[in-house]
Amino acid sequence: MTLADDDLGPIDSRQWPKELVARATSPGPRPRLFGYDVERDLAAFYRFSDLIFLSLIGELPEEACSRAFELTLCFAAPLSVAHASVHAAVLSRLCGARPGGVFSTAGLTLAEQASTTVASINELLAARESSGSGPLPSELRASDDAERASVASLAQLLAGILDVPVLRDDPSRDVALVAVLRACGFTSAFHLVSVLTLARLPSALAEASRTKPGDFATYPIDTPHFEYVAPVPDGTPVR
Amino acid sequence: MIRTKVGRAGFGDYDHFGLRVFRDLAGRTSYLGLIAFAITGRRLHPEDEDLLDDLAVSSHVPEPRVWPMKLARVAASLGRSMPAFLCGCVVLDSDVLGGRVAEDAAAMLVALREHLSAVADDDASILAFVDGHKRLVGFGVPFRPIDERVAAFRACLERRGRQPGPYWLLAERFWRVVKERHGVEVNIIGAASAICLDLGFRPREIAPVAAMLLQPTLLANAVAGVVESPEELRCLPVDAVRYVGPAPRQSPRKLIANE
Repeated sequence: MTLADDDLGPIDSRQWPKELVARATSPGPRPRLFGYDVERDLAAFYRFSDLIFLSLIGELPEEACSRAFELTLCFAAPLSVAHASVHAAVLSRLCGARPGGVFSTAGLTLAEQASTTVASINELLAARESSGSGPLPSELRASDDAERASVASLAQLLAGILDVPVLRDDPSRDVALVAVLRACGFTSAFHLVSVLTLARLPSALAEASRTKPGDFATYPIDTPHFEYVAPVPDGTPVR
Repeated sequence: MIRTKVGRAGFGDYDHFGLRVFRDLAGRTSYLGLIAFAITGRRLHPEDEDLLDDLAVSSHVPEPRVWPMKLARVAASLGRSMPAFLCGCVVLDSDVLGGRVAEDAAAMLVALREHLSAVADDDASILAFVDGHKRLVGFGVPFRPIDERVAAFRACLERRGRQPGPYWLLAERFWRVVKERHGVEVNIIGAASAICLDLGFRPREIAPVAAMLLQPTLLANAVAGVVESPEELRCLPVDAVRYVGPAPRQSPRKLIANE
C-alpha cells in the first residue's frame, strides 16, 4: 500500500533502516553466540556462568576469571525474603501474577537494588584503582565480623586464582563482590547491575515459587505496621 | 511503623489524604483529577483538571511505530495485552524519554526561575543560564519542524481562555532563547513540565504525571497489537535481521579437545 505525498507523515516521509541489527546471536537454525556454536562448542565445554560472561562481555573468560565469576555469582545469590526485591516477588506470586509478572517484578526490583549498590561503590572503586592505593573510605568497609568472615571466605576461595587487592582492605561484602567482578572485566554499571540481578534471581524465584497464589490469609499484611495520619484537607472547590 | 497519609480501609469507605473516597471524591472529581490527587495528596481545581485532560489528549500519540509504542506492539505479538502495556510503561522510566525527562525539564525551569531571581530577569540572564547547561531538557523534535502536540495544547489553552501561569510565561521566553541559540524547538515534555509546575506539581511529582499522560497511547497499541497481525512481529523473517557480530570461531577448550 502506498500513500500520496501529502498523506505522508514524519515516519513515512523518511528512509529508515530495513534490518534489525543482531550483534550477539546469529539468526537462523544453528545459532552462534558471538561466533561460538552453542550446541557443539559452548554446551560441551563451558558452564552456564561462562555463557553469561560471554553474553555480557562478548568474549569467553580466561580460566581464572571463569572460576572467579562463578564464585561471585554463588556468593551474590542468597537474598532472604526480608529484602524488598524478594518480598516483592513473593507478593506478585501471592497476587496471582503469571510467571512473566513474577519474573519481571523480581528482575525489576533486584536491578533497582543492585543499581543502588553499584552506584555507591563503582565510581569509588574505579577512582581508587586509578590512583593506586590508599585506605578504603569507611562507607566501603565491612561493618561487622559476619561481613568480614564472608569476605574472608571469598578471598580464600579465590586464593591462587585471581588477585583482587581490595579484598585485603577490609571491604564490605558488596564492595568485595563488585571488586571481583571489576577484576573480571565487568566495569560498567550496566554490566555490574546485570550480573548482580542475574545472580539473585534464583533467590527471588525460590521464595515466589513456594508461595501459594491467593493465600492471603497467611500473609502478614500489617508487617511492618502502617499508621494512617490524615492531613488537613486543603479546601479546594470540587465539581 | 510506617506513618502514611495515603489512606486506610474503613468499613464502607476509604480514607485518602484526609478525604473519604466515596463521600468526597466519587462523582466529584475526574479520573485525571483523581490521579493528580493520588500523586500529590492535593486536589486540583476543576478548571485545572480540565487543563490536565487537555494535556493528556494533546500528548496522545496513536502511532504504533514510535519507539515505546513499538515496544508495546512487539510484546503484544506474544499474545497478551497486559504484559505489552506494562513493557511500555517500564520504558517510560528512562533518561531519554518519558516521565523522568519531564521531571528534569521541570527542575530546569525551577532552576531558571531561581537564577533569574538571583541575577536579573532579562533575556541576557536566560542566555547565560542556557550557556551554562550542557544538557537542555524538553527540547528537540525528531523528524519534523515543530512538536504538533505543543501547538495543539496551546490551542486548547486559547479555547478555554486560560491565562498562562508564571512558569508557562517563563518557559515561553526560555524556549525562544534556546531556539535562537541552538535552533531547537520545545517538545511536549518541555511544555508538560511548564504546565504541571503551574498546576502546582513539584518536579518529583511530574514524572508519574507525564507517565500517566502516555497510558492511552500504550493501551491502544497493547490491546490492538494482540489482534493486528502479531505473527509478523513475533519473529522477524531472517532477511529482516542483519548479523554484525564476530565470525564463526571455535572456543579455546574445543580447540584443545580437537588437538
